[in-house]
Amino acid sequence: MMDVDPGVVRACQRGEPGALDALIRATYTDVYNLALRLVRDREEAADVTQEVFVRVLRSVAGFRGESSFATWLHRVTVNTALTSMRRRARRPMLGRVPVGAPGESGYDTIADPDPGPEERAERAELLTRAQAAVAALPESSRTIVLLRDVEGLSTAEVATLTGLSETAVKVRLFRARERLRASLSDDTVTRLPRRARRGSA
Amino acid sequence: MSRWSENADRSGAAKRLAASPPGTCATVRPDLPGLDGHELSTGRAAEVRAHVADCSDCAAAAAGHRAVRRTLAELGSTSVAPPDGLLPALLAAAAAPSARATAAVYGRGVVSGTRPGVAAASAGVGAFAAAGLGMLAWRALRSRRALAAESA
Repeated sequence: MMDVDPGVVRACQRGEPGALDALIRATYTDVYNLALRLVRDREEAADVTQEVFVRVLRSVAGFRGESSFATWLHRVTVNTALTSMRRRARRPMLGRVPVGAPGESGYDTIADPDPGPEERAERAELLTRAQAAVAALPESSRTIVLLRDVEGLSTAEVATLTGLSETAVKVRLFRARERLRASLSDDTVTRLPRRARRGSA
Repeated sequence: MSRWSENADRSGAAKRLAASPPGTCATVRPDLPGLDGHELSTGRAAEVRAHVADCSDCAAAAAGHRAVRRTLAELGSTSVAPPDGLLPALLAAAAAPSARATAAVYGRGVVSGTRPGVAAASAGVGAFAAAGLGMLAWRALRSRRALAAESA
């Protein structure tokens, strides 16, 4: 998901002026969006993003490059968001409209730059429906689906991050996917954008 | 059981497996969602694929799961614009001296000597501070001695 120039990371480690700003500018939108998908609240996602960058500032000097910086940043973001969700679970969520709730609009920019208007509309509708279907899952299953199927982490990574066994992750994934297929499958199969159907063929 | 009959049994089982569709819908369905996500062992994935090839219901279910997974993956590449105040807040936090000091590795070269300029500057500051402290201590000691002499 995130694309981070290793040169910028090295510049941050050397303390070069402007390097931290460049790193933040290059990654903060992705960090915010990942956090938003997990916590489903814009204010909380902004808080998570700030917390993530506090951790980044604290740790970037010691980053040894064993994994890519993007992978590390992804993991820090997921961890911070999960911690925030656990904190929130212990207190009531007053006056906040979760993203994906009825009436709350979907995502406004989509990866493929030039689909036709009809395709774009179909896909936007499908993604909004998918977003709503994911939002309707129980929180424990939703987090697992987001980490595994939306963010593309392995089952083992999801198990580590959520503190569940791999078997428990697989069981919840199965139930959640069945539910998603039931609510999306008709439209998903028959109304997938033509380009995606061609791509999968 | 002799080796011959063992082999005969194995080949019979293989023939039976080849003749009937592998698994039943009930045993295959739980594995359909993971079929395209490298979640099944190679052997199990082959069994499930073989069943799906022969069973139109499971083929439809597998196609549904595949489409849902594709849509979910696409959801991960969508993006909303962060709130306006977020970037300035992040940049301000990064500009704070404490944050910069933590992020940069200036401290590392002081001990290792890989950054001689920083090491020399740190040594200078340290020596100055030590001299200042020594001076203060000496003055305190001197005034205490003077007081003691006066009272004697």
